[in-house]
Amino acid sequence: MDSGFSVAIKEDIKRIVTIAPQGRLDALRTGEFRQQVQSILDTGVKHLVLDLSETPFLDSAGMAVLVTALKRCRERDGDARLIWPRAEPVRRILALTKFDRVFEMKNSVEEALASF
Amino acid sequence: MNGQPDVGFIMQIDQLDSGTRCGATAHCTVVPSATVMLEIPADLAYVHMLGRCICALLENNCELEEPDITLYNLELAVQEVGVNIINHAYAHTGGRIQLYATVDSQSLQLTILLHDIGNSFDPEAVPYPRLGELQEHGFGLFLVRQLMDEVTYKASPTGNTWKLIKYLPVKTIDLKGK
Repeated sequence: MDSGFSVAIKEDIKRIVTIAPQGRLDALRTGEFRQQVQSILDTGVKHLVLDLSETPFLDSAGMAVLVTALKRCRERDGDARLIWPRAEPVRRILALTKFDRVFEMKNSVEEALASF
Repeated sequence: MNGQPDVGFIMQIDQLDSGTRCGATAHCTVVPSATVMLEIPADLAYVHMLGRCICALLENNCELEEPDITLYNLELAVQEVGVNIINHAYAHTGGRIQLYATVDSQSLQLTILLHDIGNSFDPEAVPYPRLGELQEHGFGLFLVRQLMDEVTYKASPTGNTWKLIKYLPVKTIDLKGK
């Protein structure tokens, strides 16, 4: 007997991966970091949390990789969040280059994860 | 002196400007000022040493205002120029980068020269980055110009020289040997 009652369940699983580079993110290390980010995106992930809290040094090569990651996410209809570095000089560089306008900045990974 | 000068050997800045190469030891002169010289392979594995050299020079001689910020900014600016030399002047084919840094205790001016003998570069051809937009490249030279007070580039038959000047925000300065 058909009761006319049904429940539609749609499960939406957001795969969000947090990437937290430890140490300097500079021209010497961006090749490896770029490969790591790409390999994660290649698995179908489209949301990233780029945690710079433990990044004491960031140069323009490192910044380029961050932008590339954001572009790749958005190409997949995803997005990326950036966690503010603890190091004040790095924070100022992100503000100087207006990266804090390009990225949605968060103060913690938890805050970033909750924002998707 | 014969042969290549060691890292501790000091060379007058004006000689470098006139095209003297560091290997030409007959033209080198030890000067009693807070000048340091460092030569590294043009390789990303060594480029961080340029900025560290500047920080080491200032840490022992100056009491800076906001030292963490000032030293970081100088390290970043020098790093960006060093990477530019590796990527553009030498195009990852090797070579050497020479750094000369001088602190003038009167003007509180830090002068940094970075010298290479690779391909010349046209800084004016680098467009200003579109700040606030999704742009991957073009921030290196922008940062150098923002973080230093003066930036000039000179190409000559004997090589290319970046000249970076920063007027140091110091509380005190004590240059040994000055």
